[in-house]
Amino acid sequence: MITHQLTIHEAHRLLKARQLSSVELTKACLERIQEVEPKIHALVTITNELALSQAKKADQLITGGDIHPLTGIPVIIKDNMCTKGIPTTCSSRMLQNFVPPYDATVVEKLNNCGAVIIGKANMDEFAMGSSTEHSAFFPTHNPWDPSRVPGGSSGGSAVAVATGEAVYALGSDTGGSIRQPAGFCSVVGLKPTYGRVSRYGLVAFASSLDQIGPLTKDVTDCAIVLNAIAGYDNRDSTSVPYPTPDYTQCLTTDLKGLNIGVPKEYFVTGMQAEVETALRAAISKLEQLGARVDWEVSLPHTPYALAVYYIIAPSEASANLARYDGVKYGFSYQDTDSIWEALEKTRQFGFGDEVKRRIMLGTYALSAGYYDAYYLKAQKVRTLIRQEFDQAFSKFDALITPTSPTVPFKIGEKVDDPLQMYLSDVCTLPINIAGLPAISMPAGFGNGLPIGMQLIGKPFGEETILRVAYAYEQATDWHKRRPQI
Amino acid sequence: MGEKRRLNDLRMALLPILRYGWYNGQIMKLNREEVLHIARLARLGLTDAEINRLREQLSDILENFEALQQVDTSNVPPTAQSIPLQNVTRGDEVADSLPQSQVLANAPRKDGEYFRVRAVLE
Repeated sequence: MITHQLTIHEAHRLLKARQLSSVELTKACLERIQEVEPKIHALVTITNELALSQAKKADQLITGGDIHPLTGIPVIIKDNMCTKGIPTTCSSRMLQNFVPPYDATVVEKLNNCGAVIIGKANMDEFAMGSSTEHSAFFPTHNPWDPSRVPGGSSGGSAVAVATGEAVYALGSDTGGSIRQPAGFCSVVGLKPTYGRVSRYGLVAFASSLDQIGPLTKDVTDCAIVLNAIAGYDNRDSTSVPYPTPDYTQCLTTDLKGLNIGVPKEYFVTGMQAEVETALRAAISKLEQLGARVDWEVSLPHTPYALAVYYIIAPSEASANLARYDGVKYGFSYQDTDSIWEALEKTRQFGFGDEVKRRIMLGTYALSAGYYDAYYLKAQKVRTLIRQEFDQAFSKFDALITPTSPTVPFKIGEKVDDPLQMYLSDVCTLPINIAGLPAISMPAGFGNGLPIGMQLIGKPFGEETILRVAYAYEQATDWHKRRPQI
Repeated sequence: MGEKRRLNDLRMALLPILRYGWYNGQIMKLNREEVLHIARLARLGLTDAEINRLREQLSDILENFEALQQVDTSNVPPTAQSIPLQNVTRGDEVADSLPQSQVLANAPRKDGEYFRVRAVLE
């Protein structure tokens, strides 16, 4: 047994049986961080002291018989979720020195479970990107091939889990930012239904699309973390007051009676042959497990999702990022008496290229004369995309697609070509537009590089996609492979 | 100065009509003034190199998005968000808030118990 490779449920069993202490587990992860961090650069902040003091407390809780499945288990948090007293940078110069005075709801919930926070993960600046190359600090490297990207924007979170720097991580997903890096790093990543998990304390990117979710080593862990973070929160007016089930109860290996659809629009332009081969094999496996599969489902508005997303998300971002004015917190240009010059230079030097590009795109789409042609039009097509999913879900329990049309690409390959970069999210962003839950899980390898499979559920249908994911996982061993690094 | 700005704003507001002929024409590449106009709306300082790069990149991206105009959306209502919640209000209850020292802790410039800002009127 290698300690840093344990899953949550394995570590929990050992902690409960007192065969392992939280301090030992935490030290194993901290040692792993020392070992791999110089090669992969997944973390922006390492919280050694906090982690060890939380681990000691967790061991006391466990000795007292008070143990939650996450008690004493090390976690890494994407650096766009507020952690009280710990820098929260969004991998941006703008927030490089920002120390939040409060915890995000998800962080508070994990702390209440006795979690051990071991660090904050690198990301594309303000979660805008698909490769973690848009971090203002440094790019993160894919542990399966360090010359390639880990995906993004939650690249640091995915790499931390794949390498065992922590047992699990939290990420955020606006257009694929949990699922695409999960697919690129061969871990499990879930974007819950919009409204399922509180966004309070998540630094806003696109408020109608953002959602927090887990990145884990397997599906059981995913259900455990979702149990801990889901639920209504009166501090987020878009969190829904629905009851949350115990997600670990839906994990069964029998798929009899389930109807699964394969939307053909997700299997076209730009898809690599090895990805398509792996996906077709995975879907056949689901048929063997008892699912009825329709290979010819059509969602004809899918090709418009990219434009809809890249109008709506930057528009919301341009409004959300207007708050960075250098007055209340964050970077502030000082060398002038003019308020306008201070504002413009604060934002010029505080934001990186991709953030500026999206602010410009969003401001343009919302500006006088263009609003109807871009923003309103995109919102209308958004309605059509959602309706199309609703119709599909009247027949199917889940839909299945690749997570990304390609295996991880090379660092530098797309960073200067925004449209090519945007296209790497083409399979994941329709799901945020419609507000649906979706999970990415390991489904094979092409030339040694991970391939992810995406399962999409109906609104608040996380249980069904977890069930399908679990059945597939138990019938395969992709999730047991670890990168040699 | 103010007069010139207003005239410029009016010209910019009319540009979409010139550009599209009521949304039917081909999009042309953004010009330098348009990029500067958008940057000013966003209060975003840009270098000359950034302006040139953004002209190219934004034009490219917008050209790709023209495909949206082909979708028939007559009688389709817009969707602003995906969940069936409306008019969420909170109870009018007294609750704790952050102490002033913590609220001001991240302020780049402060003056006693205030955020310090530059003069708005020049």
